Amino acid sequence: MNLLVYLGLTILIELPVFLFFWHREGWGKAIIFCILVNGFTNPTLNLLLMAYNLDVYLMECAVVAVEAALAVAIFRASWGRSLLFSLLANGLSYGIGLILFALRIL
Amino acid sequence: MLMKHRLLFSLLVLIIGGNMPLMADLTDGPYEYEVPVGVQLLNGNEFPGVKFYFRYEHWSENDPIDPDSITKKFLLRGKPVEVGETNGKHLFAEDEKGNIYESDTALGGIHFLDYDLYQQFVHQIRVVSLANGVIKIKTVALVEKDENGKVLKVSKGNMGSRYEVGIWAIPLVSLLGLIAFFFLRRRIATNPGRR
Repeated sequence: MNLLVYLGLTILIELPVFLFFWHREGWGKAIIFCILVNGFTNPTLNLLLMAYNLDVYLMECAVVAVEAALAVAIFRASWGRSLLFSLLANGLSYGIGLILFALRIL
Repeated sequence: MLMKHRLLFSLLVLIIGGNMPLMADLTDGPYEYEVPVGVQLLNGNEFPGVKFYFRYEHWSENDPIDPDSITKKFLLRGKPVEVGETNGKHLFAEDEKGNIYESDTALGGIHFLDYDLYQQFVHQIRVVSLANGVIKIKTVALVEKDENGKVLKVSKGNMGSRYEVGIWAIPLVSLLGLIAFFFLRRRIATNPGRR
């Protein structure tokens, strides 16, 4: 159940970044892209972290790389723009997640 | 490229820089407790002559593992055995003929909690089969106990399997969606009239 809450929160937090970067592709496409990308990376990351003793920062870097690669593949964007987008989106959600965790809201 | 997005780059630096002290607080802070997970075998008596145990090896930084130092912690009827390994340990079994079996999944381990209300977790397991050197296991319940051994909660059912299948379905469906998204966009790009 918690994993679904984390996924929902991540989508909500990252959605403005997705819309900012990809609204020119169409608002609907940006929203679908946000849901699909996070639906793929977020539960995968959390399940792998739960199952194996992996380094969370290393895994976050992998998520940034995967999300940037997906943006390059799907929107044919440049690597620089995609990496910037992915770093911002994941940095924001990870940072807000840390704050919520520190405040014991999560 | 970064100059073009100077504002975004500054924001990124602020996010990463701002996270640093918080990360340090969280890693140093007294928020996480290590809770050992025990393992209790419920149907050992259905396998007469078979002994179930966890293996522990003596290890020190300078010495290689000494085969004579392997100790066996036997699972006795009704008594949970604590498995103090972060990622759990594999269960072993030895039958009367001396055949050794090993579980296909690791059991026990340590739960990390941000509170220390529950002192112990016990996974109650049933051995489904012993064949070809492999022990097939079904986890039937999770018992949560306080520091006095008083049972606080019992979660019945085959722990996790249905839940995990459900959760893994989300990334799988999302990945399929992304692949479909990729091909649809490529089709539209090559046939602009279809947009």
